[in-house]
Amino acid sequence: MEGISDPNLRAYIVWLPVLPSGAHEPAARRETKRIRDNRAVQFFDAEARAGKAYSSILHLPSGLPAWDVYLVFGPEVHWEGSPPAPTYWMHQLGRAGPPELRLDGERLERVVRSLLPKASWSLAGGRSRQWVPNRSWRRPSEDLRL
Amino acid sequence: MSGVLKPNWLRRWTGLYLAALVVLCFACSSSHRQGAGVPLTELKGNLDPLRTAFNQDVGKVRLMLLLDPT
Repeated sequence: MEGISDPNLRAYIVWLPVLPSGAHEPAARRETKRIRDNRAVQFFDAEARAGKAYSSILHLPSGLPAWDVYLVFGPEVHWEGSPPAPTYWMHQLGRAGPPELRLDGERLERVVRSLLPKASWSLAGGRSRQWVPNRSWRRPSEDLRL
Repeated sequence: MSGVLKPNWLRRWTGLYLAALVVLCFACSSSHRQGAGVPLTELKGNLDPLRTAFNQDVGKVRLMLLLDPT
């Protein structure tokens, strides 16, 4: 898998306790060192709030927190009150999650790449929902002009 | 966790491998390398720091990975 060096990509790694192995926070601090990229921000969610919130959003079985899940959000998604539903997601939850969404790294990368061109758009006027292209963005049709 | 059928060792290694695939997009890019210290923000009582970061990045594609570190 080739790296995606696009600056219009961000990642939030949320470490949360699920397995009954204890010492989650020290383990999270160790794991942070595996990801060294200034586009990635890492969190430790001691109460697994994100896992509980996304359990219902992703319609996981009752009582099963969302973990080992990989959520993708398009550039337009805004977090209002409750956490937003992902544009796309995959998981490693075995039979507890939809079989068609079991983690496939290559497919996930394709989805991310397919969303990236949209990210070259920037918001016009603060919180306005109107999208305007930035200078570097060109519509595909522009490449076809004679 | 009765719905999760894979043994823990298999889950751990498969998880690490596939998580590495996902984050390779970051790790492979030398132009985005950080220094030695890697900040870890604690979410105490609410998800506000995560929400703030998420909304600051509107206009970008965002990945959120929920993982057990052990």
